[in-house]
Amino acid sequence: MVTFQILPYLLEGTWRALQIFILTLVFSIPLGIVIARLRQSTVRIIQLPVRFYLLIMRGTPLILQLIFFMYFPPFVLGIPIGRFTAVILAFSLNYAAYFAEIFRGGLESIPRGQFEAGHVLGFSSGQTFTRIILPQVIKRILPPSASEAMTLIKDTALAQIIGVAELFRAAQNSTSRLVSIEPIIAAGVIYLILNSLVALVFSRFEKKLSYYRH
Amino acid sequence: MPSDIVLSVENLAKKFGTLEVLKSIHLTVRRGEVVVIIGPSGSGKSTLLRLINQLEQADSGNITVGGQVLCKNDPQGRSVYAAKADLKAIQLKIGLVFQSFNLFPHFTIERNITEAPVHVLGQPAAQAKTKASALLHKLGLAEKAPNYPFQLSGGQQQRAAIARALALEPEVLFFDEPTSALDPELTGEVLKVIRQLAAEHMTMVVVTHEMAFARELADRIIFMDQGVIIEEGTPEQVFNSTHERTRQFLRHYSE
Ligand SMILES: Nc1ncnc2c1ncn2[C@@H]1O[C@H](COP(=O)(O)OP(=O)(O)OP(=O)(O)O)[C@@H](O)[C@H]1O
Ligand SMILES: [Mg+2]
Repeated sequence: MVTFQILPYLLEGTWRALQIFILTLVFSIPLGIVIARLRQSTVRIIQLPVRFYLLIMRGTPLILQLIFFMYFPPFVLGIPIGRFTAVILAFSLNYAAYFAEIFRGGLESIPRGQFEAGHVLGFSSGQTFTRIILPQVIKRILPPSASEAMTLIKDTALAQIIGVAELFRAAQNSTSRLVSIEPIIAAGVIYLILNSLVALVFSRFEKKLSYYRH
Repeated sequence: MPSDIVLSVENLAKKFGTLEVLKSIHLTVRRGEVVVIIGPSGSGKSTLLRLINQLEQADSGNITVGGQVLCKNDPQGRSVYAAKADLKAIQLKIGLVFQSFNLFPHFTIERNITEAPVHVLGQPAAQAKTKASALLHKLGLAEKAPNYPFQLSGGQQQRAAIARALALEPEVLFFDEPTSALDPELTGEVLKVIRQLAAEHMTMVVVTHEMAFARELADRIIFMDQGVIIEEGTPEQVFNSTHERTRQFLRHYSE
């Protein structure tokens, strides 16, 4: 069993993958909410750039975006950028686009009467949003968000394309160095464990919000 | 006495695209009055209530609520609205009960009622809860305080929605077809609550298709058709109207 030998190395890669996962969620979810609201703007000079952004982010491969954010800032703008920063930038902007669309779908599924009831009772639009609408949107978007988070765990493997040594790169290196398939299988098991945890967290959360129905 | 007038609508007009939904509407409601609005589907009844409750914007006309101007015509005859801070104060003088209840599903019935008093009026939570419990008791929902809306029948949900509106102590309460989403056997319990409020001299404007109820409860009935108030008067006057359109409309309900 070579796996035990290389386990510390794989765990180091796992930690890197987790950093990408957590930082991407931290940045992309709030950004996604903001983008969703801008996307709903009726002002064309706001809505059109947002739609363009959504098209680019969802319409081109993430791997291409990673390479773009690695090379565009230093070579075109003259701004040096670290590999890891480029990864977080690309992932956050990309996932924000997906979260924005999930969020917008959730927002649009809330009956208009909820907004109207909020207004009639004197709530400001900010209060209506945070107290009445947002909690209901969160409940509705948990299932698609769980899928998105699980995809993100797997997508962290793409970071190796610009030289960030995450779990997949670690496993690949070990596999070629040791001429063994074991590290790749071990990495697969680790991804599965991580995603089981993600699925578990989301289903806990769903259960917590199951006390009411729409 | 002008202070007796809690709602005044003058020359109100509203278009959706090219469709003139309301044309020069005049309406005055006095304190303690129960005004019932009847009329065929699409005649603009809901739009009128929605304009008064700031859910739509008037094209032209004046609306005054409790002496405060919500909107007023400029010299070009376009309706200009009050400042944002005033809009909120004006909205707090009135309440609206929806056909589809629109309770907040993620809050208990108690929290549905206390949320606005606490977070809009800034009442202490304990005070808001005491008030909510009194209202629920009065509307026959005392045991439902800890339940969520989905656990209540339609009639109970509508009564809870009425309690929610009453918690803000509005000067006028508007109802837009409060029983239309209910099974016939649940209609009575909601009408009973409205009757009870009328007995307490709550000022109310009720849009309804319940003609017997309108006749029994209204101080004044307004018949609308195609965006116009065709006639208004006491139930006696309207139900014995000589106006052809009114008679035609009421015939549908006389079976
Ligand atoms: N937001 C809107 N956009 C376009 N048209 C609208 C809108 N709201 C209402 N209308 C139209 O305005 C007219 C009046 O509608 P309104 O809902 O006020 O009628 P109503 O008297 O309440 O009818 P009902 O008895 O069916 O509730 C209808 O023709 C309706 O289709
Ligand atoms: Mg209507």
